Amino acid sequence: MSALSAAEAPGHGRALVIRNLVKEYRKGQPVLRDISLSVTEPGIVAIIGPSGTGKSTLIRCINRLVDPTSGSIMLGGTDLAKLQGEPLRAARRRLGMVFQEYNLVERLTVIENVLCGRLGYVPVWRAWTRRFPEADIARAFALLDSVGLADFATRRADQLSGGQRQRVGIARAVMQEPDLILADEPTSSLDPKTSVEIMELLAKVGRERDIPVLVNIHNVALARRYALRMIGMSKGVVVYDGPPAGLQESHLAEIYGGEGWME
Amino acid sequence: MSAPPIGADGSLRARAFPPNWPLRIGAALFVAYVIYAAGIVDIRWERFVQGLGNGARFLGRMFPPNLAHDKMQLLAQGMLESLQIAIIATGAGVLLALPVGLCAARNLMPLPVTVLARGLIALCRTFHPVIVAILFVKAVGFGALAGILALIVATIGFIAKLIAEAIEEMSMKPIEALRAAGSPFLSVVTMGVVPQVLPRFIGFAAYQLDSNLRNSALVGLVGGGGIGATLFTAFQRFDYDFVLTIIIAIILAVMAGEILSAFMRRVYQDEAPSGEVKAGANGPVWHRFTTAERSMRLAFWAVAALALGWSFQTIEVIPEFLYDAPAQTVDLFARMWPIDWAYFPKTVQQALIETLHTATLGTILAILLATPVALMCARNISSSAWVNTLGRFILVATRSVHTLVWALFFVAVFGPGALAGVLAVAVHSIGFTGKFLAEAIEEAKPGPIEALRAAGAPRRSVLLKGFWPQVKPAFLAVSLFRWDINVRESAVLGLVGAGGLGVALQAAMDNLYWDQVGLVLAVIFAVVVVTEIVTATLRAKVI
Repeated sequence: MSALSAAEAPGHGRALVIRNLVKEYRKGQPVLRDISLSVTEPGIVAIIGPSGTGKSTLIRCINRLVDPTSGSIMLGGTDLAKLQGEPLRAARRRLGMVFQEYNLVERLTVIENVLCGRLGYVPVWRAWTRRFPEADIARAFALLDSVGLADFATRRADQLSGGQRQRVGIARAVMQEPDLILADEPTSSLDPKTSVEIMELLAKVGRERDIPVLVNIHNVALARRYALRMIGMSKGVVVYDGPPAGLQESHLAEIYGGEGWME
Repeated sequence: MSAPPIGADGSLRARAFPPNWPLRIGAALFVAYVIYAAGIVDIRWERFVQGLGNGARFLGRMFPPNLAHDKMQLLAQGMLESLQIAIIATGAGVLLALPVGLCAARNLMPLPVTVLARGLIALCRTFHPVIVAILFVKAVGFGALAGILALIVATIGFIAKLIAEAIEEMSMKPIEALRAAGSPFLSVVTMGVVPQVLPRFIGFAAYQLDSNLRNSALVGLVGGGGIGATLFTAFQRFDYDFVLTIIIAIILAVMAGEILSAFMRRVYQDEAPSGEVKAGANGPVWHRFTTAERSMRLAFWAVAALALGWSFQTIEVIPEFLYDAPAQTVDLFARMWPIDWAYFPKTVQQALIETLHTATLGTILAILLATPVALMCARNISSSAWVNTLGRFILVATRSVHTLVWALFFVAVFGPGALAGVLAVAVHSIGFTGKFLAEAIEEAKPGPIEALRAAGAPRRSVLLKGFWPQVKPAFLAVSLFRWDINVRESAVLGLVGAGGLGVALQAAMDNLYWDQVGLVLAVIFAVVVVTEIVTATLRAKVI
C-alpha cells in the first residue's frame, strides 16, 4: 500500500507504531536502544527526559531526518524506516514538524513561509513562479488568522519575535494537512508566557484536527499541564509511558537521575 | 482551524503576491541587452560551430603534451625564473607595503599622511599588472626585472590596503594602554600593533605569494620574463603540445602554492602559540613558544630568507638597465603628454564599448557556468565526495590559467575579436565565482533546509525556497565584485587579440604613438574608477 493511499484512509493513517527502534551514530554506541511504542490517540503526547537521551533522535527518526539503524516505524501500514526517494517525500508530507529554532526561511515573507508547507504537494514550477493554487493561498491566510498573525502576512520572517515565528512554524506544519505533528523542543527558545501560548496552540491543533502531536519538552510542569500522555526517556530507553497523573516523583528521579534538582 | 478565510479577497491578499513588475521589466531588459551586446561582439552561431571544429583540431594538436628533453629544459628554466620573480616581488613588495599600510591607517596616522598613502595604494591597484609590466618593459627593457617591478606594484596595492584595514579593525585598547604608559611611537607599533596584525599579515603574504606565482606567468606575455615568455613563444610557434605541457606545469605550481599558503596560514593564524614554562637555573622560565613551535617558525623564516637570497643571487637582471630605469620612466611619461584626444573618437570609443560588453557578457556567462559547479562543490547539496572533488578541480583549473592565457587559447580557436575575450573572461571567472558561491551555499543555515525537507519538498523546491533566499545577497555581491575585476581584465585582453581597449593600446604602442598610449591609459583609469564607484553604490544597495 502506498504511503499516499494509506494516509487517505480515514482514522487509519495516523496510527504510529514504532517497533524495536535502534539508532547508533557510532557503531556500538546506541542512542536509542530498542524503543517500542504506539501512538493512536489525538492530542499532545509529551516526551520528557534529560538532554542527550535521544528524544530528538527519536522524533527525527520518525520523519527520517535521521536514518534509524534498525527497527520499524509503521504509519498507517507503511514502514517509514524503509522508504527512500519519492515515496519518502510523499510520506513526509503527512508529517508536520515544528522546530526549536523555528527554522523559517528568514528572507521570505510570512505567508510564503506558511506556503512552504505545501512544497511537497505543488509542482516545482508553481513554487518557482510563486503561483501557488488559489485554495492553498486561501488556506494559508486562514491559518495565519487562526494563529493570530493575519496582519503579518507580508512581513519578512526575520522581523518577527520568537513566539510569532513559532506560530508561523506551526501554521507551516498544519499547512501540510498532516496526520501527525512532531515538535522538537518547540518552547525551549521561548520565555515562560510564550511557551504556554505555544503549547496551548499545539493542543488546539491536535484537538481540532484530531491528530496526535508528539512533543519533546524539557519543562515537566508544562508537559503535565497539556499532555494527555507522557513518555519518559532515559539513556535511550522508555522508562515511563502513561497519563500525566501517574507520573510519580520516583519516575522523575529515574528519568533525570538523583533527586536534588527537584527541591 | 475553521475560521472564515479572512483577507481572501482583501487588500492584504493582493499585497502578498503582487505581480513583480520591476523584476519582469528587469528580466526583459536583461534579455534585450544580452542579444544586443552579443551582436556587438559578433557572437553568431556559425562562428561558434566553426570554432568548435577549430577547437577540436586545436585540442588534437595539444595531445599528447610535449615532454621532449629540450622542451623540459626550457620549461624548467621558465618556471624557475617565474618562481624567482614571484619570491622577490612578494618579499620586496611586502616590505614596502608595511610602511605604506601603516601610513594609510586612519586610527594611527594624521589625515594628510593617510590621504597620500591611500592615493598611492589606489594608484597601484588601478592598473592591471600586465599594463604595469608593459610600462616597465618599456622603461627597463625585456626580462625578469620588468616583471618583478610590475608585481611589486601589484603587491603593494593589495597588501598595503589589507594591512591598513587590519590595523583599523584592531582593538585600540592596548594602544591606549601603551600610550598611557608613555611608550614612544615605534614601541607602540611593535608591542601594540604588530602582535594584533601579524597573524593576518602572514596570511596576506602567503596569499600574495600564491597570487604572484600565478601573475608571474602573466607578465611574461608582454616581455616581463619567466614562464609567460616561454608560453607566448610556444603559442606563436604553434607548438601547441608544448603549450599544454606549460599549462599543466602552471596549474600544478599554482596548486602547490595554494597548499603551501594554506599551510602557512594554519601555522600562523589558527594555532595561537601555546607556550611553555621550563625549569631554569633561577626558577621556572616562561617561553612564548614550545620547542616544536619555535623550530617550526625558525624553519619557516629560514626557508623564506634562503628562498629570497637564492632568487636574488640567480635571477638575471642587467644592472645598467636598473640604473637608468627612473630616467627612462620619466621620459616615457613625458612622451605621453599631452595625450592625443583625437584618437578617442577614431578608435578608443569603439574599443571602450567593446571592453564593457566583454566584461558584462563574460560575467553573465561565468555566473551561468559557475552556478552548477558551485552546486557540485557545496557539501550540503552534493553529498558525494567524488562530485565535490570534481567540482573543486574545475574551480582550481579554471582559476589557475589566467584570463590572458585563456584568451590566447580562444583567439586560436575562434579567431581574434571580442568573442574570444568574452569566453576567456567567462572561463577564468568560473573559479572565483564558483568558489565564493559554494562558500555562500555552505554557510546557509541548515534549519530552514531541514524544515522544507521534512515537509516533503522536492530537491529543486528546496533549492529555490530554502537555499536561494539565503544565498541571494552573496550571489549578487560576488557577481558585482567579479564584474568589477572583469572590467579591468577586459581592458587588457586586446594585447593578445581578444578585442577591446587592449587592441587600441597595442596599436598605439606598435606605432610608438605615446600620446595615444597616454589616452588609452587615461581612459582605462577613468573606467576603473567609475566601475569602482558603480559597484560600491550597488553593493551598498544589495546588502
